[in-house]
Amino acid sequence: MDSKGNSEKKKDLTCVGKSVRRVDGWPKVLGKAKYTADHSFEGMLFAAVKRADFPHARIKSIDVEGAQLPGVEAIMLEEDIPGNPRFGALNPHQPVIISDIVRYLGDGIALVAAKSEKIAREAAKRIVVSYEELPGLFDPREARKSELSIHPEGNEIVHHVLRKGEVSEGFAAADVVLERDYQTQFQEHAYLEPEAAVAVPQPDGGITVYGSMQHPFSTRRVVARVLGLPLAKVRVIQGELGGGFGGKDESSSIVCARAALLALKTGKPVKLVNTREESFVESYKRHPYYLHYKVGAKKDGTLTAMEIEIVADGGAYASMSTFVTWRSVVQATGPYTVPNVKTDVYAYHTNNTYTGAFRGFGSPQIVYASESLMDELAAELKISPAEIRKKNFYQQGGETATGQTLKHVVSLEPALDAVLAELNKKPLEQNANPVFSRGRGFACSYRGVALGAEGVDATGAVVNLLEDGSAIVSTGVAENGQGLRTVFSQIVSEELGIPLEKIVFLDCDTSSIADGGPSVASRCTIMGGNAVRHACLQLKERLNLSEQPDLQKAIKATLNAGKSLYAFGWHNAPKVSWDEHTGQGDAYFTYVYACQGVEVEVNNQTGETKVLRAVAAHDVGMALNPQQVELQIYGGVTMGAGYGLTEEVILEKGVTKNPNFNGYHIPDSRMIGEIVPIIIENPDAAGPFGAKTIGEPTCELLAPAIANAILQATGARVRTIPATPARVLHAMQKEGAPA
Amino acid sequence: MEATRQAIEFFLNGKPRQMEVSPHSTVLELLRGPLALPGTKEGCAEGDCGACTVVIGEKKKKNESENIFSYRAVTSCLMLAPQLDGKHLLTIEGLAEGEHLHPIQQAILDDHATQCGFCTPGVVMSLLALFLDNPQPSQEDLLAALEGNLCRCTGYVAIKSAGEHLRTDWLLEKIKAKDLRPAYLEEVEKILGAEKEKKVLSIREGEKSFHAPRTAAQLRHLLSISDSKLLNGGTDITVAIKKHGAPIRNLIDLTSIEGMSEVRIGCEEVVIGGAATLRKVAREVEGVLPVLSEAIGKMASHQVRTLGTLAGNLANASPISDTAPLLLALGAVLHLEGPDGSRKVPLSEFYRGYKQIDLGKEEWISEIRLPLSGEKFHHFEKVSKRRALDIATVNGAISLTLDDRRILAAKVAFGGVAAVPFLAEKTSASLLGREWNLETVEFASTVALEEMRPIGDVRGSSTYRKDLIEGILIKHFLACVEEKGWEQ
Ligand SMILES: Cc1cc2nc3c(=O)[nH]c(=O)nc-3n(C[C@H](O)[C@H](O)[C@H](O)COP(=O)(O)OP(=O)(O)OC[C@H]3O[C@@H](n4cnc5c(N)ncnc54)[C@H](O)[C@@H]3O)c2cc1C
Ligand code: FES
Ligand code: FES
Repeated sequence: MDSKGNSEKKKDLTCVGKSVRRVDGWPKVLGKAKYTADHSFEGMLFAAVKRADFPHARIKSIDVEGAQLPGVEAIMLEEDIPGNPRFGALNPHQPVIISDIVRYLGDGIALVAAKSEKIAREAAKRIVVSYEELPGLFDPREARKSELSIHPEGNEIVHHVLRKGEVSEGFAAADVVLERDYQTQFQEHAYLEPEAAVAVPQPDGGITVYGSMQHPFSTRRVVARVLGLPLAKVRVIQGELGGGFGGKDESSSIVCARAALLALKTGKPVKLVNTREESFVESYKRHPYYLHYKVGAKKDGTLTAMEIEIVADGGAYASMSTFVTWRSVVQATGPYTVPNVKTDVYAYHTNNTYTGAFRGFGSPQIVYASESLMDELAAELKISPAEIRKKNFYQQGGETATGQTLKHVVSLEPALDAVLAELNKKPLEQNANPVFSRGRGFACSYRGVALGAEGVDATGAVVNLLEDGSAIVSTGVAENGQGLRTVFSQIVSEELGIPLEKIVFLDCDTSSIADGGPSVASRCTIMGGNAVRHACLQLKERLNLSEQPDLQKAIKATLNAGKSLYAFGWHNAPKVSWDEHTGQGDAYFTYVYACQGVEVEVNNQTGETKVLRAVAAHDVGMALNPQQVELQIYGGVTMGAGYGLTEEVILEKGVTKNPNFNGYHIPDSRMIGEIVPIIIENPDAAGPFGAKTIGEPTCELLAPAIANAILQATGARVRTIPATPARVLHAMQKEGAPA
Repeated sequence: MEATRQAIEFFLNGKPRQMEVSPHSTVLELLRGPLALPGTKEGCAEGDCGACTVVIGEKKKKNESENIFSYRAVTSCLMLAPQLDGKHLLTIEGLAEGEHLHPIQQAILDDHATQCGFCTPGVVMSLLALFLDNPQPSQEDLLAALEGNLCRCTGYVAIKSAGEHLRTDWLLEKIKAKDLRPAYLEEVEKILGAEKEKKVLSIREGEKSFHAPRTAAQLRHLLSISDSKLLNGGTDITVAIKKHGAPIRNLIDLTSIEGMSEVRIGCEEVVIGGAATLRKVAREVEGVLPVLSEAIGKMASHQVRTLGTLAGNLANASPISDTAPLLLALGAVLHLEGPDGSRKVPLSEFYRGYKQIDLGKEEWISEIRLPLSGEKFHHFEKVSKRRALDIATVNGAISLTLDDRRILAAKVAFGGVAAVPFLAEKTSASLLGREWNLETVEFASTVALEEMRPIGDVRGSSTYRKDLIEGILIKHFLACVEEKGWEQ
């Protein structure tokens, strides 16, 4: 279906599909929105953490004597933890605080609560730990071979395989075989609000935790486990979230658990806020990948085989590595039909900062590599980058690398065409100053929606319709700043015919709604939106709106009949499948498609690269709120520019060399000249009103587009990101590019 | 010394406040702590994110009888709380009147310019300062006002368009000054304008203190009786104290000293006071030394430049200071005051070694003098990963006296290539008498690479720095070609 057909359909909708204003903007512009660190309670104490002094060491003793300053109310070590001191989604081996072996510099050793933050920090500084230093591993490729084991269970976290056809035959049939290595970096989420928690002990022995987190339910699980309390006695309330991008899961759970431990011990409210430096050192990052690609193709560009080996740095703890790298194994070939594929993705432990979920979730790395590769192959075959892609694009009815048949509309070609048309609207004009060279490049991707065969995928929502026709909505997936409150309110408004002003969205509170799974994998709109819709449909039936279209009258009649107007909707994702031995199966229930293009200007003397213009075309199924979709595109494209050009956490032997924004450069307001969003709509049966997703695919494409554009501008190929000025200049010198 | 005051007196969102503050606490700590106004956010506590941006209003003497008021956005994490004395502090909480949003807040809502919202208060305050300060902001002024506010969610598109809508509405007078200026400003300006000189502020707490002398004599006296650190904008000192635990006890604030923040443009020289902020310098010298305004425009961000001073940048002696190489090339001379009167030191002799300067314990920079000569070609280059808010990997400046293309006099300086900002004398000498062309650039590069041996660090390897020395020399040349309209 084309976008025209949709807009016809959209005309019947009153609220969905419209760019209504955010429902939660008001308190934010007033400065009244309450982020976690803004909470304050009578008699509240402040906490600080004593962290490891070595990236890998055995603790011999911990001396807290010198830390007993006036004003200090509690000092806790691992032995003081009432419950289980370790947690982890898959492998519960991550310590809240630790007393035997530290495995990275973010590990906590002792917790302090004091009357002021200053005293708490001073006391933590005075805790003396003596260690026996252990040799460390700082490169996953070394960890792969090393005798040395960071955890008793070994260094390998996971090894995913995908086998399709027979690659040796594919390569034999090829006219050209190309092998390339690519490398990606540690990327920090750099949400502007550092992690924070305030824990308040309750009279019944339970605890309430306000926290800056994306997934209140996983925080609840960790806090309950560590405190040794039943889940029901732990109430977790999400504070206004100052950004997450996948980064506020374990990183936040640990902060909440620490505050909760001290609160239970002292019987007083405790606030714990990470400094930016602590956030950099402690919180997990995007996985650095080392990627080796071998590709075979016919002269006309038809792909015959791909063999891919990827080694990921999992850092000190397992966290989400298994899931993140699983998405990589599914999508590693890019959106291209390849008859013979052999992919191996490994993740290993090192003594670096651990790595986990980050917007894109295992895709930005492989999209960077595979889309750079496609351009390299095109150059080798002397055909255009667009032609080689079109030749091999997945098609509706075609089969993916995992053997899944794509039954929905596959919009790769329209996305590519739309980007090229916009990008090449004007011919490329060189800067009159010969120091600068300009070039254009683009990249394409496909992306599985929601969790896929990674895990159980279901979520719930409550719609509580009140007698005056107003409604309270709450969902099991949490607002992450991306505008869920708005979109879900729009769905309720659409279904029940009540104005947005009469809808109140409750912040996620674990004690009042069922666990809805994490706000990750861009699953919120499609999963939560469906759950909201289910709840609304139940209400519509009870209200009998088809017979009695006047809502007010219907409400009255329903209530008089003794029926409730409180509905709980639950949505289960459609079935998916996976064979872990072959990497074959229906990995995700649906996919989205996208293309981004870019024009850059490179300074030939210094290697500095500017993004003059970016164009992003995304198939979102259906845009429930076009403005919000565009905002996601702007934000994701910009984050992708940072990934491609400036952002890199520099770890030297486990030490973070740039733990604040003076050394870690997220894009500023001048980094990109212009961003042109293009929304493509092909409603999907699986989504509410046909909507799919937008949050994550937006940030996985700009880095390869930039790398491809730099090549066009300078003739130099950057195979390691970010493409810092030094790397670009170095690549230019190697290729003997224009001076 | 005369009687002193312990408590600071200032206005907070239109209301007078008198309170005791800790001598080394920041405005941000004061706001989020004792003042219980958490609308102002902390994202980095070192001036790099702008989440803590507030607006400072203060009286500036226009002439003997008249005052004007200036408003500037500052990062409240860098400004020390005692420096609020006598000023008006505006925060996000002071804008809306009841349910009635301020036009800037309304524009942010209308343009969907807030997502998670954590950066929003800072963005609003940056925009407020822009409009209070500048009746005719250009598009570039708008971009400069926003460059210090990092946002991770929006990609800035909506923020910039909200700003642009405000700017055009403001220029078209669709937004009136009375809507933009909080109603209480007038009253506060009246009170502050009429305020008579107060006793010197002198705050002690345990081993720490803060003093704000009003005159050079008071400053001299204070320096003679205590082992003190001079404080200007605090953009280096506050970070040193808060992030690196610098063992600083006594601070003497230079920013209240009569006349020291002035910039005077003479026929033959520019005289910059020892407490003139970077913003002020950039504005005042724009007509006579545009190269300095441009160089300052590439430093830090707007809300850091409103605090930081030129003297502080030089005295801090960072080998990668942005102004030092340019001032070396321009032939700056420092005027130092001390217990035994004053002396002059050329900037080229000021730097002694890594973070070592020719400045006695009781001395201060009272003035920076820059010779003016319209004839010369000047150029400054800075190489960094990001346009705003980034320290250079290498920077460099050049000043040439040319007779057509022949080089009669030359000064070439670099930053980030040695332990101190470096006047490359051999490289400069190598240019003398030659034609200014690519061959000469090449020749000068070989001399420069003999003369400078940069080391590698997080910002760049030694090889990359060497490449940049060459690259910057070429860029100097090409800038000259462009400026003079030469055929290449
Ligand atoms: C976020 C951020 C970004 C920055 N970016 C840049 C950049 O891009 N480029 C760059 O060059 N710098 C940058 N800086 C550094 C800083 O802003 C400058 O060095 C600033 O000019 C220092 O001035 P100040 O008034 O704040 O100095 P202060 O911090 O008050 O003082 C700095 C030093 O100078 C001494 N001092 C100050 N005034 C005098 C005087 N009159 N006489 C004698 N000694 C004096 C002080 O005792 C102290 O040792 C940045 C700083 C921050 C926080
Ligand atoms: S908190 Fe980041 S600039 Fe002040
Ligand atoms: S809206 Fe989240 S940081 Fe700007």
